[in-house]
Amino acid sequence: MAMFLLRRLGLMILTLWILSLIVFFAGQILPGDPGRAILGPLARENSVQALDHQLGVDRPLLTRYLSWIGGLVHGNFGTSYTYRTAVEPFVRAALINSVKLALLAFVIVVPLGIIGGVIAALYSGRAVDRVISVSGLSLSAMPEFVTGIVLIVIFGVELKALPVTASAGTGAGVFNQFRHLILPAIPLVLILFGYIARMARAGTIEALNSDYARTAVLKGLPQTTVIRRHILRNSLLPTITVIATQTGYLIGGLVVVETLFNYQGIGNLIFKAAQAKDFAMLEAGVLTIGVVYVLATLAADLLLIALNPRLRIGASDD
Amino acid sequence: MTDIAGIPGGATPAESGGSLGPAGGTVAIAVAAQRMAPTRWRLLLRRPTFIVGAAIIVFWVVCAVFGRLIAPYNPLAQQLLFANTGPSGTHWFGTDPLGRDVLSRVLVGARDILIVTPLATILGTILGTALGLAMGYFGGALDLIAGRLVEAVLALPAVIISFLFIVALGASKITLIIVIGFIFTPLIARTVRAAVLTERHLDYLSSARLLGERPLRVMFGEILPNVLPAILVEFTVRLGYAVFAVATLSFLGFGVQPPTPDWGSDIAANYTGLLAGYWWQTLFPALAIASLVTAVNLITDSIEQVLNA
Amino acid sequence: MSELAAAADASEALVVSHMDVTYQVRGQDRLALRDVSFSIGRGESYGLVGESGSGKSTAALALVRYLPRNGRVSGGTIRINGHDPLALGHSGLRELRARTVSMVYQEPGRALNPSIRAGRQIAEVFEIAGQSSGEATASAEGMLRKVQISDPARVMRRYPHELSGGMAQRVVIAMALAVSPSLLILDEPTTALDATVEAEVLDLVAALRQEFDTSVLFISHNLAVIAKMCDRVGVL
Repeated sequence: MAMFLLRRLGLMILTLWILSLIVFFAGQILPGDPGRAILGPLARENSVQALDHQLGVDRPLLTRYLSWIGGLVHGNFGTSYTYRTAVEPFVRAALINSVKLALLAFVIVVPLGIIGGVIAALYSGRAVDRVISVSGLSLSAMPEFVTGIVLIVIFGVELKALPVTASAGTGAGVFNQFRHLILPAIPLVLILFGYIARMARAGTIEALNSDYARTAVLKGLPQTTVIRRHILRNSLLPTITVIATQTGYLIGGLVVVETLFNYQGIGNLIFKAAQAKDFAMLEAGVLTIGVVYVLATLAADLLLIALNPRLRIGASDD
Repeated sequence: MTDIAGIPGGATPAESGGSLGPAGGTVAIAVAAQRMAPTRWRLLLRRPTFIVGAAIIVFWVVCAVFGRLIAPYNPLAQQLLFANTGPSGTHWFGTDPLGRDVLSRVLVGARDILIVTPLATILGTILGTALGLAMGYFGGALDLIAGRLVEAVLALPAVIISFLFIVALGASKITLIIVIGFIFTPLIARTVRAAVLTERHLDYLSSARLLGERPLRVMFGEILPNVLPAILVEFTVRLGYAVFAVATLSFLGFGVQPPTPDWGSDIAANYTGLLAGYWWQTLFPALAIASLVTAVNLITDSIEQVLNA
Repeated sequence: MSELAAAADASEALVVSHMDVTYQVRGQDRLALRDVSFSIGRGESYGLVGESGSGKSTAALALVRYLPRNGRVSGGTIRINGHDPLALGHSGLRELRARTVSMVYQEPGRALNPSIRAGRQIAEVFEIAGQSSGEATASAEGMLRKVQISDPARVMRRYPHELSGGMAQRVVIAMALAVSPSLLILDEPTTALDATVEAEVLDLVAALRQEFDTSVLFISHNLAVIAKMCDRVGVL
């Protein structure tokens, strides 16, 4: 097991390194000149050159890369071209906002998906199963902004039931904040629901058909106890780890949903940075998201190990 | 598993870290495909899911090709007096802020997504197949190194990476095709590699080696035809993802630039109008996207059903 | 089906009379078992032999009503200790399974829940019988001793994948005999085990059968094993 962990960590480091290379490389192929971008089109040429020299853009590639990495490690994310100040506080605030939205989506979709999947498995082959499986899959293939727009039109415009803007305004209470986040959370929920339900369903069906389920039933346990105590913890094992790896989809969805609802999360941050060609902000945002994503995947693996006794303990004896 | 803007529900299950294993699902389907008799194709054509899906796609293809002829108005023609009018007898889908007819824009707007999506998927498939063939056939160090790289790249959220490159390269159809194609490459490579590995032990390969045939010839001449079914299935699945990706990236402003009609860009331009209640400007293009996504998924679904029967 | 000795008595542990089992495959009914009759007296050990696929396991599962969704007993009667399992309601069936009939399976490793420790799984049987969790744990440990496991406390804490085949089968046997059932069904219990381990397990079963005075239905395709373990034999 230690070997497994070591391999995973190694892979994670490799991934992060490749991410840094990709981000750095993308930055290099961006046309234009950082000094010029910061100072603007009206600044004089020698000011631009001086700033460029200060920024170190005339140094060799490798040196630039290394000092950039060095800066990152120390928390220096560079200077925003648009706002002319440090990038880091923007990224931090945006990340927190995104986490709130993501958490809400997770809190809704995980129980919903699991319950849906388990029910579909228990009634496998019958109408309930078909409905859950098919609707789950078709909804999850819909781009988030499509579902988002439909939701806005129905709930925001026609029914006026839920707030359409995601931000409740500064200083709003927790409950109000989350109330505003419900509509934006739903497209994320729909994307993830199909996949989670499908995994839960598959896991539950496999558990139901297993020998140990047979043993439990033939012990004389009531159906609900069999499901609760024997089936669920085995069927949900793959589901739980899959949930953690859904962060990838969640992140993609965050960008779209935050843009659509104009929510100041990190997805929206990089979107605006991309529009404004504020590469420092974009880089920082991308790196942050990348790191969070890689960490989440690692957490998923650790969770799998923690929950699955077979992976946790070493060789058997006797 | 990472994909552009995140599209779950594909044929390959997710796996974190570990080996390049779980392309197994697609490979299994494809192995079944190899044994597919011609009658299966006829079965396919009879399935309602396939028919509905194909019908929708055909409809949009017709719109893409003949859009200008079918559309009631010129999609670029602005009638500022009639800006932001709701659906009515003269404008079935209403008008946008510049007074352009939304129906016409929706009909003609099918064009770009129907061009970019298949091209991006084809690019990804070609590159992915080449990489997968090489990794599967040569094995050894190449496979090991490339495999680790592929895993590492797959561990990154694709939508974020594509962001970077689209900003760096500038938004256009070509950029979209290239970026999406490259994002698909490691995914498809993984599946192709798995398919090649199931072939590698077969006799015709050792006899080819004994005959001294050059690796390229063996790879493309002998192995490729046999893994073609797996590639085709993978292609169809990726096509669905590509629609999702192109639509999402267009919505984010990275696709076609105005004033060309395009579903995603039109939504991007007009979604702020939702607050003012101008729902038709975004809902109809959104439904168009939904229909295309559904159609591609129906087709993928029917193919899988026929192969699994 | 032939029987080597006849005996039909109202106080039998098990009486199967002209049982048919039907499966529904692709809309069509297929007869898996036809006109099966045999009986097992109290304390008797009965062997059911047949080739693979002859329906031996089906017969066993039919007795406890655990046929797959598309299977059913389509004819004949079953009496276990005089009760008709086919006529029981949910709670009656549960009680039958909990107190009267127990089963030991072919692959012990798979018959145990991989996520629950062995001791808990045995204790569960005692809890169903009404013991508190503390009592059940103690009883479980006692059962492990009875199945000749030398360090019961350690084995209690193990997960099934940490147990060898023979060890796992002892655990399953412990679960099965925990509440002294009237009828113990063993479906190929040693087929998946090594030869030496097989001998040990069979000796254990023979000893326990005496001690608990349980009637035994022993299913196997191995005539030698049947000959060793059973008083009477039936062939499918």
